[in-house]
Amino acid sequence: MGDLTEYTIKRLIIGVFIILAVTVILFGIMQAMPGDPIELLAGERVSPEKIAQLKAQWGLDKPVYMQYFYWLSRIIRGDFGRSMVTKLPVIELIKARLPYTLLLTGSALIVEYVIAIPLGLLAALKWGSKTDHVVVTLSIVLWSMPSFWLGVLLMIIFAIKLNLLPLSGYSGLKSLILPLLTLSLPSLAGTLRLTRSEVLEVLREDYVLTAYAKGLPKYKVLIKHVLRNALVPVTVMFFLYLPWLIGGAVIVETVFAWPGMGRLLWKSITVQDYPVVQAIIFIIALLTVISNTIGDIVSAVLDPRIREAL
Amino acid sequence: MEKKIGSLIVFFILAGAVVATGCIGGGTQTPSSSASESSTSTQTQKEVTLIIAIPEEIEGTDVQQVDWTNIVHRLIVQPLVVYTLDLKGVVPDLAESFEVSEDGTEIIFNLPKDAKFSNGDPLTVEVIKKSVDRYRNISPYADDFAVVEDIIVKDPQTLVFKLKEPANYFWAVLASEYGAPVDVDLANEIGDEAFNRKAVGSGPFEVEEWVQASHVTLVKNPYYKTHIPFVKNKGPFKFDKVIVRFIPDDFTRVGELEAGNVHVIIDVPLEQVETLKNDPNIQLFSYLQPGIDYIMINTQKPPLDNVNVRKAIALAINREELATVLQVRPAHGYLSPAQVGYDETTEKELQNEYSYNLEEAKELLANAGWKDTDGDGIVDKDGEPLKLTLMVPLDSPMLKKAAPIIQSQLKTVGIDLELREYEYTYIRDMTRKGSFDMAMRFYWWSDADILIYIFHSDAEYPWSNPEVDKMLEEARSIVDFTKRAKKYGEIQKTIAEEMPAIPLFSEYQYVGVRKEVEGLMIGIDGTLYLNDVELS
Repeated sequence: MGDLTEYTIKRLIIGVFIILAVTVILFGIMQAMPGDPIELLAGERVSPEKIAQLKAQWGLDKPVYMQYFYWLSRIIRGDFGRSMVTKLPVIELIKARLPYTLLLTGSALIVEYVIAIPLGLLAALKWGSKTDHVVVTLSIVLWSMPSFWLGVLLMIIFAIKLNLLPLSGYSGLKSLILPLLTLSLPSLAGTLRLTRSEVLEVLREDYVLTAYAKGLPKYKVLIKHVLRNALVPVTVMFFLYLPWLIGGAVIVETVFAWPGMGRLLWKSITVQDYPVVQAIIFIIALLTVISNTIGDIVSAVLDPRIREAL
Repeated sequence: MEKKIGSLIVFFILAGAVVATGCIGGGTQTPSSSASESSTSTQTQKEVTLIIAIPEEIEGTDVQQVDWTNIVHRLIVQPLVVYTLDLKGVVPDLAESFEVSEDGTEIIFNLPKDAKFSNGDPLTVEVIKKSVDRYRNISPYADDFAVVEDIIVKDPQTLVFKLKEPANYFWAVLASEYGAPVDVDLANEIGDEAFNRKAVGSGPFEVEEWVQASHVTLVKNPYYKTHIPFVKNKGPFKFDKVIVRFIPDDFTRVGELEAGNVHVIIDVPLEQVETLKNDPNIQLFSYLQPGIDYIMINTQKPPLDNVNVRKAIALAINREELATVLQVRPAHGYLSPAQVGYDETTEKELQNEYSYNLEEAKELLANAGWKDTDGDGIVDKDGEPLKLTLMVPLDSPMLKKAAPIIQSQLKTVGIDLELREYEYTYIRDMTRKGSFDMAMRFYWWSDADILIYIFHSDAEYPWSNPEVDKMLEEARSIVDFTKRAKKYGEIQKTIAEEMPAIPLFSEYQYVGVRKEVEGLMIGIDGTLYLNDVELS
């Protein structure tokens, strides 16, 4: 267990450095963007004196490195400042919207896995048959559908023509169905193909043949040996998907007027609402580093060869 | 080992889902179709709710803290006066009546005796004065009241605005949501941030709840009273609640209107106008942009520093063609009919002088030394072709569509126009810094006074003219609406002589309304009046 601990510690330290580097890059990008946030907010009728006053108010007249350190020290304490647009605390804006986004993307991720893994397994077992071709082709067709197009299509069929489901907005779990399908259907191809190819590889392994030869029932072989081993890369992929839970549904949220983070992120980027953009991207970056670190540690646990790699 | 991890994963996913659902709780649901709730029957106690959909979420509910306003603010606060539907005059709203002194420096408002805010707080003349003071302190548009020297409380029902000079354009402030009084004492008590979440005014509705990213719920103000002559119902509105939903996607917004889940949409995308016109369940109202879309020229950058080159460009643009293709109203002057200060005769004269004329355009270019000497279709001078860059706002669909048309129009006189797309706010920035050739811009404001923010030397754009400066300042003090319009006519003609900006067109905006909504009125600048609205 010694070199696993060593690997884990090294990996965690690297993680912390990556996060710091991200904060510097993030801050630098926002500064380098053309346009001035105060001028952007000000309409035609705002005088130059008022603009200068607003700039001082937001600390935008101080040197860049000072702005960075102020920002970093506040972030560490969980204070993301206030939105320049609504003057409300950024944390509040995020807290009001994040649960809706997590509900949508989290359940879409679950649905995606629940559909894709069994189908991938099926396709691998029936490799080369019509079933295999149909499943794979169907997943590619879904993959190539742009989300706004699929969303609008589902909206027209189920909400307008058939009047079965709500058109937009959050009004209980029923309103989750269309956005969820729009989000999960196109992306299940990735997980499906991965499961299928991993299962195919494992099926060729000697120990599977051995298990059958020992007289184990087929389903036990499939679940205990085949699936469990095939799912190792799929599991690691899952951790890599996690960061997308926050920002990955912007288009679907816009189409369905879903009250999540999507519009907030979009809007704050366009009007250069620095504090909001920095907060959201920081959270996504943090989550990315964390889940990648966990993913790496998980694969090191599962496959001892990786522990030498660092 | 794998077993443990497998179950761990499943556990985390489920836990995450449970936590997420738990965070959402019960009370924040989007109001669903109100079709079942709308009934005019006075026997039933059913609550009648009007649902409006707008594209963008509000920044806040306090008109004194936001950068832009919409129907939500219009329903929460009540200005002292409003414009008439045709923008030709001003009538009382909160005020019972008003008079303007002979020299135009005093506006005397007579306020009703027992006016209240929507929460029951007294709306006294002192409070109105304090409200203006607060606006001057915290609003980004504090300068709106710069012309006010003092506000005098003459008696409990009379408030006098003493102006530094007569200012007809000041009505634009007084008639807008920005100039409306808010419950200052409450704001001071709970603080600006809390007040921005739930502002209080004397408008027909008050804020019940603002659900972030989803909607704002407003409930009827039982104390509401108006003195607007052109509405029949001068008291509380005929429906109990308004829900304003934020639906950014055009298709979704129109879809909800067509499905009957939403009663009014303020912003109908042009592509959907024809569909909605043919829908028997929908009424379409249109109004004109109070302002114009135009091309601003950097008059300090050669070759655009030559007025003949600028005029040539203006004459090479075929506004009628733009109007037919884009379904807009061609603008020959710098004002639109939906603005106070617009003068029809002026626009006709400008149309006669500067309308599309290819031959004259080519002649003007030739006089400036630009001729096509090498036969490549582009005019040149001293070996240099006439190549110009036009900044196009990518977030302005109409201007984006117009740009390539203008590009090909200018090609016919031998001008090579390169199109560059940027965000509008960036373009505005660059024009202020003088780093541009030509830029597409626009403005929206009910009063011609907006021209001072574009063409006056204080506005910090490349062009100015001391004569125009003087005229713009004088126009501010003219009290009579007609005389003022005539003055702006002169101003526009003087500006056009130097052509620092080329007017293009004014856009039509459409409001989509379900047929169940009766009694809706709309001014030519798009102001909605829901006082007489009933849901059938």
